[in-house]
Amino acid sequence: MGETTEHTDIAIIGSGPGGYVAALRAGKLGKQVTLIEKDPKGLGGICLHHGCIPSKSLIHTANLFHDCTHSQELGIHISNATLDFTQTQQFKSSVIDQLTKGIETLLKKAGVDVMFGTATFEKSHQLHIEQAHETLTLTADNIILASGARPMELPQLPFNGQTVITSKEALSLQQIPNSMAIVGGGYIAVELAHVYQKFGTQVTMIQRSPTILSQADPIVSELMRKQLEQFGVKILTNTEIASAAASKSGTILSTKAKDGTLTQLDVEKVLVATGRVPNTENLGLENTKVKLDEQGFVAVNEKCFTSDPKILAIGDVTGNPMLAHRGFYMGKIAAEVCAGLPSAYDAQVVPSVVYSDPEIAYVGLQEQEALKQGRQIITGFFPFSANGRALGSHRPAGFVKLIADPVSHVVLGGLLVGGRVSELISEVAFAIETASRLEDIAGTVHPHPTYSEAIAEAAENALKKGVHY
Amino acid sequence: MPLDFKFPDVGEGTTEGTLIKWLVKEGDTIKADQPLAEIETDKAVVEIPAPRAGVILKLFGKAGEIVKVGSVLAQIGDAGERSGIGMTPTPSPAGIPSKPVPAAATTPPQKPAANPMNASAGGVGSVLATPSTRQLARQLGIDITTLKGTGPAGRITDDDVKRAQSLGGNAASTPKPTPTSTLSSPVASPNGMGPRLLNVPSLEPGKPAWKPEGTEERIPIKGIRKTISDRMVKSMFTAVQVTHMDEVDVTELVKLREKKKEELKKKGISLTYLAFVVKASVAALKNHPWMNASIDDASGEAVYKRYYHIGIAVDTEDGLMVVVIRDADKKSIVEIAKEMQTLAQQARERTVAPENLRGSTFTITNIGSLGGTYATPVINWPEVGILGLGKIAQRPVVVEGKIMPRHMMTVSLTFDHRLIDGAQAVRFCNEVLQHLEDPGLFLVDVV
Repeated sequence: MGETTEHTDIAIIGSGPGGYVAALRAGKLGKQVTLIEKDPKGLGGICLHHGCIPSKSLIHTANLFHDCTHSQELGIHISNATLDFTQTQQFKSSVIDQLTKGIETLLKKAGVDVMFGTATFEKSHQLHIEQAHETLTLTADNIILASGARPMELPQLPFNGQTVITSKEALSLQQIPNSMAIVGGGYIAVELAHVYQKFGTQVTMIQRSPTILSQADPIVSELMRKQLEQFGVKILTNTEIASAAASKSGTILSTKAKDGTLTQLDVEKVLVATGRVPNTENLGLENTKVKLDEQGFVAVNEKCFTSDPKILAIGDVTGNPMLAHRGFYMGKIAAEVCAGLPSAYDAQVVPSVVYSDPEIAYVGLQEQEALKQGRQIITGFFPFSANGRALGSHRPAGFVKLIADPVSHVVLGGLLVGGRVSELISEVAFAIETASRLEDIAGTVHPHPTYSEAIAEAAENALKKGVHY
Repeated sequence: MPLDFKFPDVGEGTTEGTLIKWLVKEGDTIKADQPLAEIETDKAVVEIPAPRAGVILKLFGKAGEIVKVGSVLAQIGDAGERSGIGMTPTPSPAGIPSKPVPAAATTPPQKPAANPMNASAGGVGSVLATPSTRQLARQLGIDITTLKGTGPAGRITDDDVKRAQSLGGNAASTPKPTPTSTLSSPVASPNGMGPRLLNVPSLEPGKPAWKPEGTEERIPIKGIRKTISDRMVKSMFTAVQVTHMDEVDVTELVKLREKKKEELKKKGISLTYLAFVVKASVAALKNHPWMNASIDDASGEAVYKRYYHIGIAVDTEDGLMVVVIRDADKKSIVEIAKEMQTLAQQARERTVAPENLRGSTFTITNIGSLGGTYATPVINWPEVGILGLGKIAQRPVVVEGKIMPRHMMTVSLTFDHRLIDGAQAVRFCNEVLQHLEDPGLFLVDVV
């Protein structure tokens, strides 16, 4: 069969959070959309198959398992709690399947043409697509690049899928390993350290910088370190991997600390989670006017346009923060821009969440940063140890901290640590986006007893009107 | 070194124009002052002359596109020189800057994007407006970062954005020809659950605000129509407009004009009644300074003008334009008639110079030329008065106890009640009418 050429209004490369949402929005705006995904089973991207969703399933199971054996105070005595990890993984897979089918249905309803294959740019508006059994030339009025990012590989620790692995394999292990070294200290490293330590693995975190979660407020880094150590995780900071060698049981890692201390570690699995790099290779970008920034991400403007007037880019391939919710947001903007609507990236903040125990969530201006900028702020604080719901739920750890302008009391940021803060952070983000003041939060009746009361209390605390703290 | 020639400021308040056509092409050798392009601004079609001689290396923009004042129109170099792409922003309909906002985490971008930490550093507190208000601003083509909020804590409200637009907007971005939905006023709901919006049309941009009941055509409001629309809104929502109506016996004026008309016609001058009304109005304005004034809302001052630039409404194919007879008090009726004739012609041909389209202090509109008796003219803001003229027609009038056929003209004077009271307006009007009723004394030496 000869080469065929087809035309579509919008072609989207990659079906992750950015790509599939762009497809849905554009389809519903009446555009003819072709969504190209290279993994035949990968509709939904890394987030759904190898990231956000599977990790949250495993985190939930790990927490529940841990609580079973750590709830004596509540009168729960389970002596022989066992984990059928195959069942755990099956449950996880069923969640992924359900969500994948959901996306499939939504795309069908929106009239999106889904194509499984590898796309490369031949021209700004023309793609060459290699499908399983045929090739195709696809031209489009606009092409949205949503090719995502992948784990960074360390030269001394090349991935082999078995003993030296990425988060993708770490989320689909068939057995719980006895030991695991996690190289890196970001949120992926911290979350998976929780999961496997709680499942019974001896986890050792190896981090080059002086702290874990170095992007977050120092108070949080310190708190998380203590917490992880309490669970039994060993943490080596200021430490680098000197060399690695295969051993009978896995890998022997030689580490070197800044103070010169040398350590050897024999572990079953080495998880490398030191960061992610954008997928910009093998896309034929050299045949377009797309430009990359100094860090290798695709440079875009507020309308998600690249330097090529035909091509837009969204999500992880465009840079930090590489978070699914930023992808969702950009996907909608890109679709609307292609449809001629006056949309633009004007969100003031993007919240960050770490699904640790306790959870960490922050958004907007942080105290440390305000200090660096020399910006005057006021803060409000409320500990969950004074919150009825948190105490009753056996989750007294953590706090809410709000950061606001000292004159206008406009909310600028929030830092939350505690049992349910991944769900609470949106209230603070909403306050920032709507230019709300501390008085607006304090004046909103929060139901009792809830974790969310801590936010209202923190607002009152900042206004020096707190009653419970 | 090639020169990046930018779209110059061609007239007061002009921020953008529509590129009608290029008069040169890339590679052409041009002379200084040679017209490069025809651009339609909100006021006129202007030819943009070349700033220097040279060779056109590159032209930016296509016919029909909006060009902003200050954006690069053409790159002009010397023979053999090549275009320096990359150093010049390429305007495109999508508004892509040549240097896209860096997405790198290490360099905090100017525009919100990238790292949440950076976003907070550069973003939080920089735009105090809700996402829906920011969306509204984009729909109306207003750069929200340039606005000052009037809401609590300096929050920018929907009203602030709409006000900015009615003031002519800023040159931030091109409004897309998408219909703008409007919200009806919030109405308290009977169940006490707080305000609810009734009859809210679709808020989704790009969707019509109403459901078509038949075939409809949608045409972007731009150019002169857009200017008229914005100015009318500004006027109606600023000035408190009251219209006073009267009629005047112009039988003597008709006789006077008949006498002079033929003589002037030979000289190519059409002596219109309007020219007489201009002169009569100027004479009255000198005695009633509040009618030749403006309110400076920002400073809270009334500004009395000691110059008399009279605006004349001209009906053109593209819409209403107001040409300005500058210093009408220093010109004779014949001179005024001649100038009006020229300016009206230029307005219709869209060649009128920008200085003849701005700065009027009082405006006259001849509504009667097409028909009708009375009207309620809208003030040409920031002026405070506008005089509308009805048709001159013979009507039965009681003169000294007898019904006589007389030439009568109706007038409708709209004034800004914020500055002018009814009695003052009537006094002014009376004086204008006296001059027109008895032109002998008043006009004898000026004709």
